Amino acid sequence: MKYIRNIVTQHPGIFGYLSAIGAGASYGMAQTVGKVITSDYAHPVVGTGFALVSGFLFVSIIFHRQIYRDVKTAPLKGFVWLGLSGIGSASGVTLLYFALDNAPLVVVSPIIAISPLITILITRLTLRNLEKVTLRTIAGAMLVVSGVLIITISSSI
Amino acid sequence: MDGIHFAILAAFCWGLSAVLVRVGVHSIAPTTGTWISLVPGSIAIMALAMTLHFQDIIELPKAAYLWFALGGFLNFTLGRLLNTIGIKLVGVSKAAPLFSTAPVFATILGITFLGETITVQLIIGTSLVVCGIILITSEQPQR
Repeated sequence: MKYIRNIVTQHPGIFGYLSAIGAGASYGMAQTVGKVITSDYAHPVVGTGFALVSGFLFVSIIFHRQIYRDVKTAPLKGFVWLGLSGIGSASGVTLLYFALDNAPLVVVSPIIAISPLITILITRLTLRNLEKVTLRTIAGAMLVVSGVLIITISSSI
Repeated sequence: MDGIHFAILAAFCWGLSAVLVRVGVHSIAPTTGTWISLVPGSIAIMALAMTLHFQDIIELPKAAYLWFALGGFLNFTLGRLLNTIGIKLVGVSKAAPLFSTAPVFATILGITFLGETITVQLIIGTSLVVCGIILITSEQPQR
């Protein structure tokens, strides 16, 4: 654990990029598991509900010490922002189900794929003091979103 | 409201959610941040599932719970945690496009394990994603 902490301290940028790409890979694996769940066992809402609860339990068990320490010492505003983030994320999932109930996947999935561009726009408008959005980031994000759009549209036709 | 409006709102909610994580992890560890962000979702979506599909839930086979646990670990433990760490270390504007590459990985896994086919669109799309990743990660993040 100490060894990993040293690597993160020495190379935060590389570790951060690897984490973000790793998150993409993990979400991708989860989507594959999700396909099995929805085709063989349950409605997406049921699958997501149980997956959320089990994910929450895993995090609670694995990181209980850190969580206990932060609950006692961390500032309240951090909890508020992250709680609001959770509400935003849960609203996104719920709205996605409503969207899929009212429009075909081929229409819904490209719209969903643009969310990183919305993130960049909100960051540019609201977090100027905390984070600088560069032209290279915007160009890279547009390439990624274009690639994801081509893949999602072709797989949902 | 039609499906397109719901989809736009969903994309906006996810976009905003990532920005809120950026602000939140400024003062809290990513592990605890992940835990907090899972509380509202667990309650809201489980309540929705119970309300709309209670009978289906009662009749679920035991094997389904293993798949739910695997999906939960990959999506909401590992994925959400790496997502939060990425946002904290390189910033949300750089991390968000990187973790949105999930469909590429899902398609590759679909081809490997579920027998799906390789298409020209997949090759073009993946090439664009890789170019985008190279462009974003070639820049030194500001902290």
